[in-house]
Amino acid sequence: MSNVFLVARQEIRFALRERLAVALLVIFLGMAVVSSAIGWASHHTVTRVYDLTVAQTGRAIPNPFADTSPLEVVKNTIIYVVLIGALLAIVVGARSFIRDRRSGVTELILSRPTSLRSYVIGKLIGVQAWLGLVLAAAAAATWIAVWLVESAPLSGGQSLRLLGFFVLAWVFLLPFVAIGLIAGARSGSESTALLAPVLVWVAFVFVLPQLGTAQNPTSLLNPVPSAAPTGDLFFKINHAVLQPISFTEHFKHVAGVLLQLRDIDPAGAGRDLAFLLVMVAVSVAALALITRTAVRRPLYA
Amino acid sequence: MTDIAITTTDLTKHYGDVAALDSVSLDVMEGEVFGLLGHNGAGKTTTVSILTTLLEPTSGTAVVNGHDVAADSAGVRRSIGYLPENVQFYDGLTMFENLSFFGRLSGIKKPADRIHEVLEFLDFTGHESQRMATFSKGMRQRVGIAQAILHDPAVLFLDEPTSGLDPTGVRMLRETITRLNTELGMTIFMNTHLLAEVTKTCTSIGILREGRLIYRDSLEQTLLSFPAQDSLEEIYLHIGSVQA
Repeated sequence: MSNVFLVARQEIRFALRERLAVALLVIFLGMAVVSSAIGWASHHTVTRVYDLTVAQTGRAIPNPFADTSPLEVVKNTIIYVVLIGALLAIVVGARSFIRDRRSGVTELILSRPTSLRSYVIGKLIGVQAWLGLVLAAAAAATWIAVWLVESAPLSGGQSLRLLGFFVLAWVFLLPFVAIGLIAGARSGSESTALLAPVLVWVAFVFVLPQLGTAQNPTSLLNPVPSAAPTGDLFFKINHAVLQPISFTEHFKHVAGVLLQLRDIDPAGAGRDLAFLLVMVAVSVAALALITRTAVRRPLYA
Repeated sequence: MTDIAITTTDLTKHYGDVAALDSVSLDVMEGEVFGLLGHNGAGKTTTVSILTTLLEPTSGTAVVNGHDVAADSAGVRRSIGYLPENVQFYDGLTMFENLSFFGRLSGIKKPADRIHEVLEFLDFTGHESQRMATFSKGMRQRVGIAQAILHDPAVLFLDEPTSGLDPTGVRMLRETITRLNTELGMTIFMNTHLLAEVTKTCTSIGILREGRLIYRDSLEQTLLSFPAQDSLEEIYLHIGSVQA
């Protein structure tokens, strides 16, 4: 077994034993199921209003949910991935190096015939593998929840779309894992190692999208069409500069297309996916910021 | 003919303007138990950190078991064992899980048999399934020795190995070091400032003062060369005062 996979296996073992990581896993799974329930409740309410209106007026008004995909009910999961999943990725990533530095084993690990690169990549693979398990469990829970609320299982194509969404979520979380790893490896104290990446998360999830999509403020949390309601030059420039790095927005758009959400325009999904993959590549390259000197430094509380 | 196990040439390490090591040139022969002495801050840990590839020198060269620490750091790490001062492990894992992890990191594909063999050698069996969090300082030090010799290294580096141990632990560790040298033929490079331990375990010594190597000889020759001094402690103080 190469040292990369040895370190990765050690990471999975620790993630499964750590209370915080397991607690976050349970919360994430709960939210994935709740998402389906919320989606169903929303549809149910609208359909009841529709039925009442038809009964009272006797007019055949188009039902807004008549032709929507059953995947529409898991719409909120997109937001949970951005909010809870990304935070989970950061915490698990940061704690990976915090654990080694706090326990003082980095000195021993680095004196073994393994390179720093194997050590870091092993940690990345381990944390990503653990997140893969979390997302696979969430995918299964979501599939069952949709079956229950819709009273029918998803078709093969819809199941593939749901699977594609969770694979996309797994890819989307990688930059957050990398941010957590870098902070855990380079920070002088444990609190900084956890707080610094949370600030980066706030920037990517809230600040950049707010600035970049200021011309379309309602898109902040929910995936909505990205058409610009204003032609103001300032907003256009702002959007052009910040939109490429607002990768949470790219994720929301591509995820919306995958889940066949009603209001999402599929145009530009390929470009958004490309932006997302570029961010993944950049974040993997940024792991070079982790140096032997940094991880050997003592970590203060 | 005995070969050189460790050689350094003009080894220098600067931290900003401070020279932690200043042109240290040193040879340690195969089969020696070498004790590097010096006050706190003399540069002992910096020397070991460079020789174990944990630190890069500012200038100069160091070769361990035929591998250059800068050009072939992986080769160095394959042929050495290292016990840091205050060795730590994953407290949440058992001793066996820790040793298994470090054994595999050292390239041992199926470490279970080797772990058993090493623990037998150290007379430390029976604690394999115990979590490291429950281990005393002395027990941790023995696990530290076990992880350092799992892959049967040619050279063993010990950084202040008796630091913080009670007299029983010190004696046990001293006996272990001697056995590693005489029974397994390991070359041992040890940092310490406990001169009584040096007298009982080392075959040769070097003295570092403010980053410079001011003395290097066999222990036997050292004791013969300073007949006026009663103990190694007095010799150490004498050499220090002359060099100052």
